Parts: sequence; C-alpha cells; structure tokens
Amino acid sequence: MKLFAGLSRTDYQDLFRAIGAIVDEQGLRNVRMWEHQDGIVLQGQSAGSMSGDGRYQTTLLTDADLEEMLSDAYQRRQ
Amino acid sequence: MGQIGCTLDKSGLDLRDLALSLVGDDVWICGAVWWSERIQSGWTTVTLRLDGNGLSPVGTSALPKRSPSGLTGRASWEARLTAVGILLDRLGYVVQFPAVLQVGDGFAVTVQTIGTPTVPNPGLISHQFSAAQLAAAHPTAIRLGGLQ
Repeated sequence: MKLFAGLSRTDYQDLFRAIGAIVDEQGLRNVRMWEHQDGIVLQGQSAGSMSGDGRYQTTLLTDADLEEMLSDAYQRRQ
Repeated sequence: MGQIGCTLDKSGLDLRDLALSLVGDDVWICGAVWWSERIQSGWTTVTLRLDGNGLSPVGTSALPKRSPSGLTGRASWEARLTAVGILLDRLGYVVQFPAVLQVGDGFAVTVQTIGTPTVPNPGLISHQFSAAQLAAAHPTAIRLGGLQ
C-alpha cells in the first residue's frame, strides 16, 4: 500500500475505521487482515458459515479502493 | 428504580444518557446507543418499555438497521479497528505493512518499521493490543460497545 508512502505520519485510524465498517456491514468474524504492496487483504468468516469450517472470504482492497474509502470517511467527518 | 436498574444491567444493552418516563402504567426508557454501518455511524436514540421483567423496543422501525455494539454486547469492528489504528498511529515511529489478527477481544499486530532516527533499523515489531488498551485508546465508542 502506498497511501502513506513518504509521509511522516500514518493515518491507520481512519483507514481501519473504514475497513471495520465493511466488516460490520458484512457480518464477518474471526477477521484478519494484512497490508502488502498493492493494498490490504481482508479475510473473515461470513456470519452464515459454521464455526471452525475454515471457510474464509478474501477481499483485496486496492490502493484505489482504500483512497476512496478514506475520502468518504473524511467527508462524513465534515 | 432499583428494579429498572437491575433490568437494564441484565439486558446487556450499553445505553447512555438515560431518560425515564411514565406512560400510563408503563415505564419507558430512552437512551443513546452507538451503532455503525458502512455509510455512517454515530449515536442513535432508542426507546424501550419495561415489560414485566424484561425490556421491549418501542417503535422498532425507528431503530437503526444494525446495531452491533448495542445488541451484541460487543463493540463494533469499526470501533475496535479504529482503536487499533489509533494505537498504530501513536507508536511514535512510522510503520507499514501491518498484519492484524484477532485474538480474543484484542488483536496481535505485526508491523514493519521503516527506519527513523529513534528506530534506526527497519524490522518487524509485534504488539498485542488487549481489550483494555483498545478501550483506553478509543474510550467512548468501545466502552459503550461492551468491551469493558
């Protein structure tokens, strides 16, 4: 992810807030996520899956997706 | 009043700014609860009626579509991940490539430092953020979401 590249500070607060809203909306549990060069991978078990069946749904949030999410978050704050 | 307090405590709902009123023979309780969904989040008012030994909502259609923090007794992901982000932003040095794993009510987070005057050597650092640390970082939403 390159959103914070070259900056002296990060804004994971707003970024994670936006991702958390998606998790809430999709009703995911046992969530894990990690950042890599092209964005953030979000994984979680959907609410309908049985506990322990190991079925995770995976979503790649690209830099463009994340930038849009952050923009929306900033606009909601105003 | 004592019975109302006990009923509210047993309900598991995390309400604040309560107002009690008598409507005929019924006791109505109005309070604010934190809720969130993708589009927006914030405080919303709910009204409950003391029904025997329990509580029943008044005007269900007026309730938010989803109220994970209020109805599940646990803070929303939005609130908890916001707290994780706050803690990362406050580490005192710039990090990248965080990997976030849910561990109970908290999170294990591994980040890569990029090298600064105070942390000169880039490398991986792991942190465990407990529920208490999350609540301290983002007290309002998380306390009312049920983490404490």
